[in-house]
Amino acid sequence: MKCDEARLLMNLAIDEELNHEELSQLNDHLEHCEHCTVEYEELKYLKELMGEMEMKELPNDFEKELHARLLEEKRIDLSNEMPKKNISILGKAKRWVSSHGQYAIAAAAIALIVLVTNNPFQLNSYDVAESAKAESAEYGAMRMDIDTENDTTATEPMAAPTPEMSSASTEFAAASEDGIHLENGLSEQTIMQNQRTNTDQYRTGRMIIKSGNINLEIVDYDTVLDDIRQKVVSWGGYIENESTSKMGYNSRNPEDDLKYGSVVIRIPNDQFETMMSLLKQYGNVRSDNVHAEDVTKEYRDTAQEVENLKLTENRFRELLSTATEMQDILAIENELTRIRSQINHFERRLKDWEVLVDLSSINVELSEVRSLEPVVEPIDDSLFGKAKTELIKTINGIRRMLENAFIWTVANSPMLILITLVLIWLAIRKRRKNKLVK
Amino acid sequence: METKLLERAIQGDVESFEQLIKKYNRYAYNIAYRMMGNEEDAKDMSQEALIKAYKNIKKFKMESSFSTWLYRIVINTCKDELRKRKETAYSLDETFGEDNRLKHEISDEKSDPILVYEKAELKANIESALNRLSDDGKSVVVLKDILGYSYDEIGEILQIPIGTVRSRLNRSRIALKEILRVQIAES
Repeated sequence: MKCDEARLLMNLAIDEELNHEELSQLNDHLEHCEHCTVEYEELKYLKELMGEMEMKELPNDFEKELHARLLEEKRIDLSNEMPKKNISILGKAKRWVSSHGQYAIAAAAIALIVLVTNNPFQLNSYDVAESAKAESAEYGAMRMDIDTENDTTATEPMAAPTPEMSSASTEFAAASEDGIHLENGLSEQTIMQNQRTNTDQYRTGRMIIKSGNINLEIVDYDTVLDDIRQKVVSWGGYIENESTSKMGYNSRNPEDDLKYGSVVIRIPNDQFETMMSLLKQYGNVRSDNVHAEDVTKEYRDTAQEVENLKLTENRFRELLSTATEMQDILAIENELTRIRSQINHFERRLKDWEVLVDLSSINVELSEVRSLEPVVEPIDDSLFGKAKTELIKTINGIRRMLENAFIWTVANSPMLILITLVLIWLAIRKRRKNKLVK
Repeated sequence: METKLLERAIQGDVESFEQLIKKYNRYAYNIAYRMMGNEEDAKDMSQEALIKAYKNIKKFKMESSFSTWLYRIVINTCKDELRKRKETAYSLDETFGEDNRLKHEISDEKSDPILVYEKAELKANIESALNRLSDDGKSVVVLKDILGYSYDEIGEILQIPIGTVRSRLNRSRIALKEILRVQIAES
């Protein structure tokens, strides 16, 4: 056996992947080849060393971070589902892009060159595009200077694809090599483009929904309610809900009854604090609380989703204009309807949020009292007082009993008379019998 | 249990997927660590690989075991990243690889065998030596010596024939040995 052959076997030997025969051959060689013996020992030693290398512990935030990224991925994935549905034309288009990627890059590059030579703002806008890419997480947080925006809007949509296109094409190249890659480049590009072209459609500041609760004791229910109504309307809000009830019913004097009720008012966001403090002045505050909910993140996510969907919709529309097969047309139209309804759904949610943010709601509970001053009712608990009430009770009791007895007698008088007559008759008969016997 | 989780993960359930990968996380991270050579990249790459796995879980066929499939993604992700980096900027440390040239150049010097060095010294050097191995070399050595996979399993993970596993491992170990020897001799 030669040293080269032996070397091949050594590795197998230390990994215990060698059969008996080969092992004895190797041992034979090692016995009379010092050089190979050293090498063999070295390899064994190396393996031992490697085996003793310690496993790294997972970083602390590993799973948490992964969780967040997975959720993010799921969200993007859901919005990408639709174009992946099997529509033959779309498939073709995708294949075309992947196989003709270089043309797309070339075209984009030409467009870029033309723009560079023609438009002094080009470089500037390119920077903006880059930074937009970097800040993709903070959707809409940056609002471009309006002047630059006006100048660059024309160039952006064309300039933008260049950097993304190339990344998408490397993705494709890699995909064909390894088989486990994703065709995500396109959708990322999509999201990015929207951010810049449609930012102004959506709100950019923080989205905070404010709401308040207040429980008041007041003296004059109707006046206060009228006053609140007027204030709300004059400040540009409205009454969402209103209800009033009476605490008890006094038939003799209905005007005198105490009322309680609740009003839900909607008031422009900036008037919220003023309204709250104004309400507090109407009477005694029994309780009040203010709640603010930040929906900025949800809002932006949804806005992004809408933009994404819109782009998909446009792509489908383009496909529809080129489709010839009836089957394709129907399939695309189906998809379009579905996407439209989703867009509408999300847009409604956005609008709802906008309204909620614009108009804060305050739930006012009012209860009327006789006086805002604390009233001490005199309590008559003297011995005489008690005796007096007890005596009155007893007299009343006796009177009631007599009354009842009288009423009973009168009511049953016909019956009683009848019974008396019968008794008298019986008595007379008895007396006559006695006389006869005697 | 695993198949149930798998089914739910295929439907896009993030929690089930996390349950599924829980016991492989650390290995995935360690493979990435050995491939990339530092903790930061290891974290990024292993997470990226796990996310890729999540997105592509539909493509997982039951033919291989889940761990095999997962580690393949981890290794490929790392290799892609390393390749990308090499394309953009040439690394300062030239990787030694399957080149036998190196071996011949050095073996002429007849330096001491690594057996003469202290274990602690070798251990201190072995990580950096590993980092200088070629990407393919690293992947086989890591799978074999650190994770203890058999030749068959390595072939399955890397999707290369078993003969290639053998020869690659052979070359890589010899290269590693030489790198180690040179490194220690230099220091």
